[in-house]
Amino acid sequence: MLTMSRPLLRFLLLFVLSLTGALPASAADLFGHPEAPPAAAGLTPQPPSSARVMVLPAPVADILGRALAVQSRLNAELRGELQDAKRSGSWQPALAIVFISFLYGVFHAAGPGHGKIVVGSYFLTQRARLLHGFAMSGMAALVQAVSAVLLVSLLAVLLDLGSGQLLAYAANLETASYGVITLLGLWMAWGVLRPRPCCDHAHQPGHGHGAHQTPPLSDLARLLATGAAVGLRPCSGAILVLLFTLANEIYPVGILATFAMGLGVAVTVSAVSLATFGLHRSLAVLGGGRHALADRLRQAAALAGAVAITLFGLLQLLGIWSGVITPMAG
Amino acid sequence: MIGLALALASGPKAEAHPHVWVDTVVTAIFSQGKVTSLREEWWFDEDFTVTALSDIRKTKGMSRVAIRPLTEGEIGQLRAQAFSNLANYAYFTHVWAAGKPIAVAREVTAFQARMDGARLAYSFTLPLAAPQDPRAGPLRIGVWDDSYYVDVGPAKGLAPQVEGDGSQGCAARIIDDKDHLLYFGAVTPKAMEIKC
Repeated sequence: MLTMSRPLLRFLLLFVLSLTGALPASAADLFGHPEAPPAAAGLTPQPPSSARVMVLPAPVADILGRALAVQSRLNAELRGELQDAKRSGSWQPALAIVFISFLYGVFHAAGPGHGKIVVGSYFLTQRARLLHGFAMSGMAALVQAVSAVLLVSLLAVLLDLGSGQLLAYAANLETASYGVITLLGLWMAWGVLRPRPCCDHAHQPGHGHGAHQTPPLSDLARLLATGAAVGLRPCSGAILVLLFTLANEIYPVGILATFAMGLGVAVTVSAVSLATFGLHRSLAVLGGGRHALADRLRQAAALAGAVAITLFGLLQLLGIWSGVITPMAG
Repeated sequence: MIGLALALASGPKAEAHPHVWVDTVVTAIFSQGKVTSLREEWWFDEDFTVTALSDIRKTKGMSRVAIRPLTEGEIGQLRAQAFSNLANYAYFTHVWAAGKPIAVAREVTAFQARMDGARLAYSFTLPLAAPQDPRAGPLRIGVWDDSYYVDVGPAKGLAPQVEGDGSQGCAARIIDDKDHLLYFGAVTPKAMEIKC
């Protein structure tokens, strides 16, 4: 427990600092749109036509559309069950709430976001074991649930802030999340570039690679830290459910639902890590018997992954600072 | 991988799956044979209702966002905090006359807010930039959020209406608007089409 308390303290510190940080996060209004200053009186510009936006190929768009429809249905069911829970004052709808929230988490995470880019990039390019995929995904989902509950509990319960201010603080958390992701990407790149004693010697015939498959302990720490960084940004859906249950005096039910959602998110993100992990393994085979070449390829892939994650974090940060991206609009 | 990240980061809010659901019904108001304004009614989901009310009702913190009629002051606050920013987004209202986009006014008239059960409901009248004649070509009116953070759709069981001087012989119906797909092409919004 003692060894866990330092990272835990660091996380809590980061959480609180992010909340109080004076980052220029222009949060979204209640409709997920940036609060733009009123333009000159007169006519509104026609909103940007959807024709300019990239359109996915038909089968993918179809699947995404169906996932969205299921997600909306689940959310409506969840709201219905939450109202039943409030009315009846009993815990009977709790099982339905947990189940629906879990399913909602699964489908909600299927859309863009929730750490799939970071997790996918990681397992596509870095040396890792299968279980690490579940570890990182689980960490990201758990931290995301905790982040939402902490945020609402601290700001709405203790400080009695309204939802508008809550979303503004959540926006700070999102910005901090991308900041940490960027730093971790750099740390990963450093881990690839710095010389490693174990792999510098020439390869002897018969020299098994089994021993090289286990990543050193610092990789595991980096992996979990990446998961935590992704989860720092709380899920808007969870926040709304928590606020609803808080207002209707069934807050514990909301917390339960949030963690059930987190479990669902963990399942979907784990699936992504599994898929990219499998891809990584099959690509590794392509190195063939040429160990030196395979090692070089592996190093290059690992570096590419670290760079991708760094760039992702940086792009999001730049997007938020320049106003192109509105935090918490999702 | 980088290209994907770039695309998703620059597209319409990559994480914007819906978090607010709105049911709407629209009435096209005619004057001298042309559509001059739209009367819109919106019903919000219960989560959004609580979220919006929590900002303006401070009875014992969040724990009692009571479902009771709104006061005049509260309606004004709702308009300021949970509506007026939509002026920058044309109140989600897209209009095409024979395929040509038509602008709408920045300010609405006759704004009202009320509680309909556990759901917050708005109604308002949105004037068009210029009167449009549906006899010159079909008039299409779609109320949706381009970023799909808000899932706006026609209320079930309530048909769009036409009324006013010169609306006789015109009919409105709901269509799937395949010309204006949302969210990377995954969502086909519904629009109201008026033909005379």
